[in-house]
Amino acid sequence: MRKIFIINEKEKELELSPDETLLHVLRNNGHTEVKNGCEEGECGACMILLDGKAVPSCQILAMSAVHRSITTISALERTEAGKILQQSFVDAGAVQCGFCTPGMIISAYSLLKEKPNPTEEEIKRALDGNLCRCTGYIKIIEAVKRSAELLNGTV
Amino acid sequence: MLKKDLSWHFPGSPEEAAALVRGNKGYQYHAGGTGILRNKSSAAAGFVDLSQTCLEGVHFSQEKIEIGSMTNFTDTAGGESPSSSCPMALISRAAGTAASTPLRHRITVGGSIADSPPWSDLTAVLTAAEAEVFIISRDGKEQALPFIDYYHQKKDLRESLITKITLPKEKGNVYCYKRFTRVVMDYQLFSLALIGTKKQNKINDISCSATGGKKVFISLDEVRDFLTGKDIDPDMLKTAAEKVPFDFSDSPGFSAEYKFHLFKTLLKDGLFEFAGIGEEDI
Repeated sequence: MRKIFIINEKEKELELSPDETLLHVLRNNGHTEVKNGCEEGECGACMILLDGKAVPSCQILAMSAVHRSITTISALERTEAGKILQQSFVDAGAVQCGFCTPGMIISAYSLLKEKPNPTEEEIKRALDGNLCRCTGYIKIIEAVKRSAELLNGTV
Repeated sequence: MLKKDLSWHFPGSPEEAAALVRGNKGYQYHAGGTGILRNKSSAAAGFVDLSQTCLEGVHFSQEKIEIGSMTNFTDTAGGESPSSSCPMALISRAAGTAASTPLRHRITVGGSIADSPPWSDLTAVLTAAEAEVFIISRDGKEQALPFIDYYHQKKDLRESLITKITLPKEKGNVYCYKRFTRVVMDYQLFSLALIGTKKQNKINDISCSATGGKKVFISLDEVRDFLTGKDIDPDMLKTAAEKVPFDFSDSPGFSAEYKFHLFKTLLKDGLFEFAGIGEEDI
């Protein structure tokens, strides 16, 4: 069957089966920027924004997201916060293999939209659904802090 | 594995949703969906999605707090003025520490009550807070029942639709919620909820509930009876924490005896926090 989704602000008709997760539907329809990790909601590699909230797309049945707004990492590079986060991750050395990075940036973006001046504890909490097996978390947390400072014009 | 030919329905009211499940064999409610995906319910013939049934939100009235069953854990944790009511503060605390930030955007109060999944089990807090569960039962009638009764009849109420829970607004003046996990982001091995009234140096009343025992729910009536009406004293709290029944079973990484000791430590810490006793006071 085919259903309409609003992906990165554009209406798209996607092919899906009623038992499929949103992760699979997005990837099968070309959105491979959404990474497939654990498929159990633990790793956060498949993070997207659903109606503005960061959620793991592997824990959502696609049919429940029909006609709703989905934002993937691809759309964030068109935003100021997205660009700053991307550059801060590079500058802080927060990227190694890069597999977790789209999910990390989605979670960080969601946090900064809600709390422009997050504390370190709030950053850790916002990223508690994202796992990185390469760098550890210190540089990732530094990158989010740096992004918040740049966005607030305090640097 | 879920069936390939599942049908999906999007009713506009709770009554319509309940009628769909009642009238179609194998239909299940779909709230946040996290429980369905973990359980991969192969028996489901169709899902009745509750997102358009207007069952979301936290509302305060003069005596009660209402939490709609489709309210997700993020919104429950940020419920209106949680500090003004101990039961609401207790539920907010439990909802705000369950699972992970992104999963809390999906997990709903109703789904957690219906399934008691290990990552978001509210059994202890809803019992301690004396919550009431409102359902549309199999025969289409609206019904309210104390959470503990709902919990014990859960198998028979499988096809009922939870519409909301209510909490007493005024209950106790102090509360404590604790969960034991190996790391912060993990399923809880135990959860503990305490709520009661403390005046000057005396515990007037206390409700104690916990999950994680052999029967999931651990009854702490002996602890409650021992503490009610007593003056606060560290030795007395330590004695109270020893009054836990041995009701634990072996599980991977934890023997029953080890769990028993861990739980007593968690309870002792909880009672000290409830009583306002810090390390420096011991």
